[in-house]
Amino acid sequence: MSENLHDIDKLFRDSIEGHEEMPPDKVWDALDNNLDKSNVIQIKRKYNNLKRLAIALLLLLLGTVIYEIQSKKTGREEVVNNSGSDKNAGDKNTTVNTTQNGSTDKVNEVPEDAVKNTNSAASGNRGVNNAGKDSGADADKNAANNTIPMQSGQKAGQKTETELSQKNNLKLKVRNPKTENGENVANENAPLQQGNKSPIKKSSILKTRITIKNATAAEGTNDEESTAAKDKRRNNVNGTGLNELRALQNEAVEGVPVVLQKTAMAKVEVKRISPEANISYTLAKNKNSKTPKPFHFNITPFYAPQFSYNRLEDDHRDPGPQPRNGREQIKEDEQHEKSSALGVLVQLPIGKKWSLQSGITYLNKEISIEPKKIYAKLDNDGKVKYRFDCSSGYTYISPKTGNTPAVGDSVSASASSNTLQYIGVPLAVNYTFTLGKFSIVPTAGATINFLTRQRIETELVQGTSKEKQTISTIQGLKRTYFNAFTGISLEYNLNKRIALSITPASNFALSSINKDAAVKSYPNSFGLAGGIKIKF
Amino acid sequence: MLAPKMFVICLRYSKNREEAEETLQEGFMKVFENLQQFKFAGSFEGWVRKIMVNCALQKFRSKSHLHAVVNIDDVKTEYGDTENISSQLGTKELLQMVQLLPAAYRMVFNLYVFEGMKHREIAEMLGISEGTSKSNLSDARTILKKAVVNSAQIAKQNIN
Repeated sequence: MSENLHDIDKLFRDSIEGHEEMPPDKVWDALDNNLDKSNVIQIKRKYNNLKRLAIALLLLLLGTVIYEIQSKKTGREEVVNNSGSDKNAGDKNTTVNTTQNGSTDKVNEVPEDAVKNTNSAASGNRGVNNAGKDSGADADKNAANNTIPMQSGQKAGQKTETELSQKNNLKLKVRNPKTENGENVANENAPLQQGNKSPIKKSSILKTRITIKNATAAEGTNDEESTAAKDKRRNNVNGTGLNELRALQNEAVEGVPVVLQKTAMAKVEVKRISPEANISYTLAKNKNSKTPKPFHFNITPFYAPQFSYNRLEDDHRDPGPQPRNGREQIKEDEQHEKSSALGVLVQLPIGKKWSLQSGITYLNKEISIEPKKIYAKLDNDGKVKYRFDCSSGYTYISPKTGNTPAVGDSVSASASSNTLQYIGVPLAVNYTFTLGKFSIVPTAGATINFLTRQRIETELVQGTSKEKQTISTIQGLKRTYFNAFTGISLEYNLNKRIALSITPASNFALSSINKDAAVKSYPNSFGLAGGIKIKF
Repeated sequence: MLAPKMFVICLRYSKNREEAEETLQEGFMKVFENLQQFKFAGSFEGWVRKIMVNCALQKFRSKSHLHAVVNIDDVKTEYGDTENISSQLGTKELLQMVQLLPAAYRMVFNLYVFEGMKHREIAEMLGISEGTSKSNLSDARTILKKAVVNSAQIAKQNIN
C-alpha cells in the first residue's frame, strides 16, 4: 500500500478506470420521460408547419372561392343585360317598322343579294344552316340574312325593314309570320297557302300569345296598314317583356318538331316556323357569346427596400428586465434598422375594377445595436449567465472563456446585431383606376408573417479578450405576427401583358412580434416596392 | 452497455451518487439528441465519454459560485471519519475519496489523472490560471494520500 502512495495518481487510475457500476433504474425512467417530452416538442413543431401550410392554403382557397362566386355573378348579370337590350331593341324596331308599314305602302326594290338569298336560303332551315356556317359573322348579321329571304319571298321586301332587321332580329317574331301569312298568297303557290293557314291556326305550338297573334294576323286582312296597327297596339298593350321573349324562345324550339309531325305540309311548315327557330338560335348564340370571361390573373414579382422602426411598449408581464434594459434604453440602442422585402404577388380579378391579391413575401430585417453593458443573472434553468435584451426579445449568453459570472457581473457587448427573417402570406383588395397607359391601384390588406430565422450576433469584451457569440434562439420571440398594409400602386402598361409598377406602401403591425420579453415590439415600416406585372 | 462505465465517470466528477445520476441522465440526453452529429471519426465510447465529462464540467461551472473555500485540515478530519474501510482499500473507497474532494480539486484531479489533460488545457477549460490548476492538483493529491493512509490504518486496526 505504501508504495502506491508514491504514485497516488496511478493508484487511483488503475483502480477506478476499469470499474463499472450499474446506474439505478430511475435514471433510465427519467431519461425515457425526457426523451418522450422532446419527441412531443418535435411533433408540436411538425404540426406548427402544417398549421402554417393550412392557413396559407385556406387564404388561397378563400380567394379562389370569392373570385369564382364573383365571376359567376358577373356572367349572369351580363346575360340578363343582354336579354334586356334585345327586348328594348325589339320594341323599338317593331314600332318603327309598323309605322313605316303603315305610312309608306310603297314597294321597294328588292336588293339583288336579297334575291339571291331567297334562292339560296328559301327555307328557314337553310337559313339556320347558313348561320351555323357563318361563324365569323355576328348573330345579328345572321338574323338579317335570314330575314331577307322571307321578305323577298313576299310581294316586296322593304329596304328599311331589311336595315332594321340587321340591327336586331327580334322584329322577326312579329313581322315574318304576319307578312308571310298575309302576303304569301301572291308569291307562293295557292294550294300551299291554303294549306298553311289551317295548320298554323290549329297547331299546338300556337298557344302562346305571340303565335296566336300571328295566326290572327294570317286570318286577317292583307292590308298591311291595319296589320301594322294591330301589331303596334299589341306591342303597346302587351309589351315585349323578358318573359315573352323567353316564352317565344322556348316554344320556338319546342314547336319545330311538333309542327313537323302534325302537319302534312311539312315543307311549308318548316318555312313558317324557321324564322322563330332562327330567333332562338340567334338568342342562344347571343347567350353563348356572352359567356363569362376567360380566367385571367396577374403575377407581380417585386422588391421593396423599407424604412422601418419598432414601436416599443413595456411588457409588464416580464418580471426580469432590469431598468437599464427598459424601453427607453432599447429605443436608444436600436436606431439603425435595415429591412427589405421581396416576393411574388398574384392578383385575381373579382369585378371590373376590383381584384384580390395574395402571394408570398420574404422579409429580412437587420437591426444594429449600439455597444452596451450586459449583466449576469439567473437564467430560466437557474444558471448564471449574461442576459442580452433587445427589441426582439432576450437571450442568455455564457462566455466560452473566463470565469463563470456571478449575479450582477457585467460585460461589454459591442458590435451587436439582430437579424429576423419572415415569410409572409398577404391578402389584399385592390381597386384599379385606368388612365390611358397608366393605372393607379390603391391596395389595402393584411399579412400573416411566419418567423423563419432569428439571430443575435454580438462580441463580448472582457478586458483585452474579445469573444464573438452567435445566438440563434431569441427568447420571447413569437413564431407569427400579423401586420396590415396599405399603399398605392402606380402602373405603366408597356403592352397588353407587361406593366411596370412602383408602389409606396406602409406596413403597421397588428400584433407584437414578441411576448414576455423586456419590451413588446410592433414593427412598422414604409417601403417603396418596384415590380413587373405580368398579365395572364 | 456503456452506462456502467459512464456512471463511474459521473461518480468521479460528482460529490455524491445523486449528482452523478443527474449528470449521467443529462449526458445521455445529449447523446440521444446529438446522435446524428457522431461522425464515426473515433470510437463511440470516447465520444460518449467526452459528452459525460462536458456535462460534469458544465454542472461544476453552474454551481462554482456556491462552492466555499476549502480548508485542507477540515478535509482531513472528514476523511478520518470515513467508514466501511475493509482490510484492503477497494475501488469504491477510492472512488468515494475522490468524490469527497472539494469540487475544484476533484475537477482538476479527474481531468489530469483520468482524462490525461495538461494543466494549460485544464486551466482553459475551467477558466482558471495554470498555476491554480497545478496547485489544486497538488492539494488534491495531498488530501487523497492522507485519506488513503488513514483508511489503511483503520483497516489494519479492524483486522487486529
